[in-house]
Amino acid sequence: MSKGVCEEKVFQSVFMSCATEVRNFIYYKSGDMAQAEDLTQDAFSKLWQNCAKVELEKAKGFLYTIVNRLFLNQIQHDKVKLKFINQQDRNRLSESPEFILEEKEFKNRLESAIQALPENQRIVFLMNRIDKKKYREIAEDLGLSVKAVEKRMHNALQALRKVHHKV
Amino acid sequence: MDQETLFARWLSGELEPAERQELQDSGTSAELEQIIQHVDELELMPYNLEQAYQSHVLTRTPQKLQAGKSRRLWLVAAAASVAILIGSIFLLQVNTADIVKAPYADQVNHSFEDGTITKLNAGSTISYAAGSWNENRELSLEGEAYFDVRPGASFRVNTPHGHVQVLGTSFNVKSRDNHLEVECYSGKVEVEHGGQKVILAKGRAVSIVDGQFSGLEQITNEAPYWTTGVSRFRSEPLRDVFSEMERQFDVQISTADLDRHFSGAFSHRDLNQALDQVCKPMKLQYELTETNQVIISK
Repeated sequence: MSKGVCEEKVFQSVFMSCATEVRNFIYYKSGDMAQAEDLTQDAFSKLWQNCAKVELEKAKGFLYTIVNRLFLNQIQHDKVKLKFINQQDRNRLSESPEFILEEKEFKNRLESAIQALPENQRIVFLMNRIDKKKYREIAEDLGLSVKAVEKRMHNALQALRKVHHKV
Repeated sequence: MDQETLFARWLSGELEPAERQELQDSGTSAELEQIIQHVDELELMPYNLEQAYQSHVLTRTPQKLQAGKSRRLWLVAAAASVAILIGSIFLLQVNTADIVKAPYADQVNHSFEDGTITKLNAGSTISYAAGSWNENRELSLEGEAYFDVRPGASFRVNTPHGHVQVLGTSFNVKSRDNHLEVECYSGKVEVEHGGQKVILAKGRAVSIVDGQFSGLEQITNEAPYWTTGVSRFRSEPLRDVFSEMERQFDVQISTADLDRHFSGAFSHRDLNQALDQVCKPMKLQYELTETNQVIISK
């Protein structure tokens, strides 16, 4: 039988394995990293307070539910501005300046397009691409059907295609 | 097939051959591929899990321990660093306690057999069993000392107010009056009072005043200030500030107004300068007699 997460070691391992994805989830919604980290820590405090009642297998679902609820209680940002660390610019020595410039422009347009996605699509899309989660896992975390996740992914990709057609 | 999920299935490689062919022919796959290739180069700021966990652990510990009565304080800190020493072999050693003392107006460096270094602040004493040091790295501290601990077995500092257990690091322990302060400069340190434990990571400090843990504080210094010729205080009673000045300059200071708190620093170079640094901001007068007595008045 599964016990709760009251044992320090168990609780810590849940934190180490889930905290980043929970934080990212809120970040995709708000674009506010400080807020995302605060809420994540609050959600873990709640988990700790309820450690005897939450089974280990249910801990992640509990965290998503709680952090989402905490987020909804906060004042919402009107515009989401996501900041990424860009790994590009490596192995670019052999490429022409024009090419690099074009790539940069493309990337900027792409980042703006991601921010402009409806929240539902943005979350699913980034959980898949940044957190490298499978559709099935996203569906479990968000309490959706796999089909619903796939639809959101499709719509996100459809919307992002417009970066190829400069206005 | 299912057009509503077409691109999602393209991305996860679940398309029927006919669908895949169609996307390829229309040039759509190429467009999508370019998008994915760029998106996959994006990353988010890493989450500092260690630090988040520790500040989290601290905030939730109070409820853990209300059960035990914590009247008096006290501390434990410890640290370890990074070299492996081949210990010499001692066949028979008499177990005597070694005492190292830093008198007033002096700071004393001391190294242990295993390479661990300690620096004692003025008016501080450590004692330990030199003969069995390699088997049992444990010492008692009265006053304040900085430790740079060699990695190895556990390392423990006992004070009248609590114990510090080293997890591998350099750290400062200040245990004066009813006040314990621990700063961690590298590695990790565990501070324990009653049943409550706090693990300090690098760049963190915690204090226990009257049996209560304060919140974690961020520090930017890489060694205690007193080792660089300055004593620094964060909102500490004037009483403690002048006690520290007595230790640094080996003088006697008498004063009336001791309950206010002082935040700031004084230099160890010159007594007059040090008195100015504390008295001016606190609007106090001082008088220095020939016999090294200092009288503070409003």
